[in-house]
Amino acid sequence: MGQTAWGWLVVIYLFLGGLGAGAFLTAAAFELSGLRARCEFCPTTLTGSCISGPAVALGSALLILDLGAGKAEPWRMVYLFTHFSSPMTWGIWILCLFIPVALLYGLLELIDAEPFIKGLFWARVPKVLQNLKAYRRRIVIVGCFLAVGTAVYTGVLISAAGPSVPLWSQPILPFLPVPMMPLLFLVSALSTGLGLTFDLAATIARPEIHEEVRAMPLIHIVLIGLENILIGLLLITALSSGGAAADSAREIMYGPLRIIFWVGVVLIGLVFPFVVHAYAIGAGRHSLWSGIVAGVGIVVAGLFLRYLIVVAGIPAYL
Amino acid sequence: MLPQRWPKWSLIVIAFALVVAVIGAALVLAPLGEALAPTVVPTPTLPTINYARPLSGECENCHFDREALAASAQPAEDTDVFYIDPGSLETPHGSLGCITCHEGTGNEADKEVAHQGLIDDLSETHPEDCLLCHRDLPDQIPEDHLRTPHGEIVDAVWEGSACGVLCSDCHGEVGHGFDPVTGEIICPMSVCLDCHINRNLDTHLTDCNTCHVGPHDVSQSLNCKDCHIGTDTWRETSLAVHPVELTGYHATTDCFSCHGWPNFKGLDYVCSDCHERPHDFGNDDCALCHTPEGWTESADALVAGASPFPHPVAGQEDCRSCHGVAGQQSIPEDHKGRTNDTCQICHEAAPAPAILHPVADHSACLDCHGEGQIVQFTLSVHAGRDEASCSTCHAEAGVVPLAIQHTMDGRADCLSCHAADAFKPFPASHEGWTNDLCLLCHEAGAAPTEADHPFPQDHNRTEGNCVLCHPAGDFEAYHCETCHALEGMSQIHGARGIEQIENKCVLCHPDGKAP
Repeated sequence: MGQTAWGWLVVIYLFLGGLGAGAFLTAAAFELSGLRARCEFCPTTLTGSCISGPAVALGSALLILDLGAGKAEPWRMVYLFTHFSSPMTWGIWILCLFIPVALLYGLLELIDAEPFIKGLFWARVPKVLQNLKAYRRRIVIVGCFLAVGTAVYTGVLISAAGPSVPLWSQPILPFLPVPMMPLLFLVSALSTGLGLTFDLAATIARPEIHEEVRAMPLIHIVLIGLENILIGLLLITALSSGGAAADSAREIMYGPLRIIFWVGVVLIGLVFPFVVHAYAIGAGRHSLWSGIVAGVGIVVAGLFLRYLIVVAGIPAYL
Repeated sequence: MLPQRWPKWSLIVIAFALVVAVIGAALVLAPLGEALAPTVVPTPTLPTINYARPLSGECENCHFDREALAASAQPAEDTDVFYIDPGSLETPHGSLGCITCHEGTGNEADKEVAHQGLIDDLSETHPEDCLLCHRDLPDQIPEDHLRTPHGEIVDAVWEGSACGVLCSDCHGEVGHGFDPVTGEIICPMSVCLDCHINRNLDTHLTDCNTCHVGPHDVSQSLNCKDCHIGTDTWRETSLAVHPVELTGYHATTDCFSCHGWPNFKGLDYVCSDCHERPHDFGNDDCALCHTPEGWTESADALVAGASPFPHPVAGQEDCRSCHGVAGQQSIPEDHKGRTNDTCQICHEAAPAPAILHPVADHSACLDCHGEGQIVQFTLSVHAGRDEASCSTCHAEAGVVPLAIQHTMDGRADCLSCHAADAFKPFPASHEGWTNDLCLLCHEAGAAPTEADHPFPQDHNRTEGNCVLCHPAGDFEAYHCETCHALEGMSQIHGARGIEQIENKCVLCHPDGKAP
């Protein structure tokens, strides 16, 4: 029987945290590589920058809603900021720094894309904030570090609770004592961020963007392949370690979670996008629908992957 | 694709909407997916364990107390059999309480009543009770490298069929102090062997792999028994198959102090594989100087037996240029492989005697010092040496032999004046030297010229006999009294009013004649 302490609120937080961080990193990649500057309107940058802050903020709010004692006695939340030996405190600080940076980047990008917004209130904005536009590139670079921290932290959070739930503390390889979850969540965050902001948003807004960024299907295939390998390693390592971890893996692969895993994660989120992107490489372009469906599939799989990992976490046998 | 009339920010709304939709769909689909995929193998429902420690007080009162036990045990020698160490309560099984496994009436003081319905061995009568906690026992225990029949036994018990093996066969004392998990009490292999033999299961006893999972993957070249010779502990090993004879400390050290775990890889039989060189000189071939019987002692013996070398070091630091195995003065075969910086660790410089005469004009050393020559070298040391090697050991001392301050005419017998007991003896370093040698180093003086010696050398029958005026070889002063006695000369000169004439003759007689 899986753990019962964490439920959907934590699952959605993990999903939104990863999605927001991945979307920010995708937008930042376009910004810093100069791809954004090549076109008048870059839907990937706009979507990525504007989604990331609110998504992570919403996820963090859900995390607060999930609190038990902290919700009843909110003053105890101050300890979250001062317990520096706890990974949760590291995460709180990362989130608190990332959310304003991401919101600021989103605002700057939105003003660029929609000048009328600037006319609405920009004149009333203090001078110091108006000048921030000049620091846009530096804001993006700082945000990149915080975004990676946010994506990795979602994995660190769950692996820090790992000793009591062996599936969550599985190493990358049985002989390599590096936790799997932070790496898996980082790769998944990049994949979902790319899926939402490029495959979906960019395809909807400017289908011709696939002609301009021809390397993107290949990048996505690499990420999907890497995610595939990491999920496979996680399950193999869990099975080989026996006990609760092996039971968790069995629940995922041929237990009550098997449909969600094989359909929701493997088929929709890994196999289908892999085939679509491989086709796009061969054909030289995405069709409108292949891009959109691949993007949706990747986002869906990102959520289901986190759901599986959380609910399949069986506590260690005592 | 995005309709022209739609603002760009609508893209953000679409993306957000998709995220919300995905979350909403997942909230619906996840339970649906789980409902459509029920667990295929139902988890067996186990009875709950009847934890009865609080009801075992009377059992403990008797079995934990030797005196109480002796009072009730029949016969008395059974006291030890039924005594239980109270410390067993600290183990997981002991803490369950006696009647949890043995039943009976644990809170009844009367022995007969208390023992009614007693179960001697729970795993014999109700083996499934053990499985309440131990359903998922490992078939292999990696840390002990053991293979167990747990799977077969548990399955047989679970299905209610007999398998001939009880839990208590191996874990018999599990409630009375034996803790197979912590390993505090190690079950020796001999217990397993005895049990196998008693049950006629000894057909597999010769195959270690029946019970053991060897950590080494060397089955192509070795059998377990090639190295492991004991049955009570793995560590009892033999060196019989070791390819190199191990002596000294190497014969007692752990195999994996030197070899890589677990397959003995990564060792080339070089000392530096394991030992770190504590000194800067030399190379990693420690065996050139050290032996396993004693690193320090073996090296000290080499140092003590090393001979000094007879030449200075400065300018000749590259010892092997002359003393290589095939060099001019070759070193012994066992020195092969040693480096220049190790030579002086054993060998001290003891330079040969310096050359006491100028080498210029005397460069053919062997003309004088060769075998059979006038100043023959010491044969035992110099045998086989050639002309070119002299200066390797012997350096010029910088001594310039005094020139002979007189002619040799009529003075060929140097020792007549310069022997140790003569009036002008040679230095102690010349002891034993003969007349033949003097002119090899000392150059004979020529007769002084008139410019050098204004006083006539043929003065009144002196006929160049220098010592008449310069007795004792002192050519810085002259001495007229040999012929002209001072007393007579003083009377003659005193009569003419000339006083104080001693050593002043040539002032008035520069040509030796009357003024």
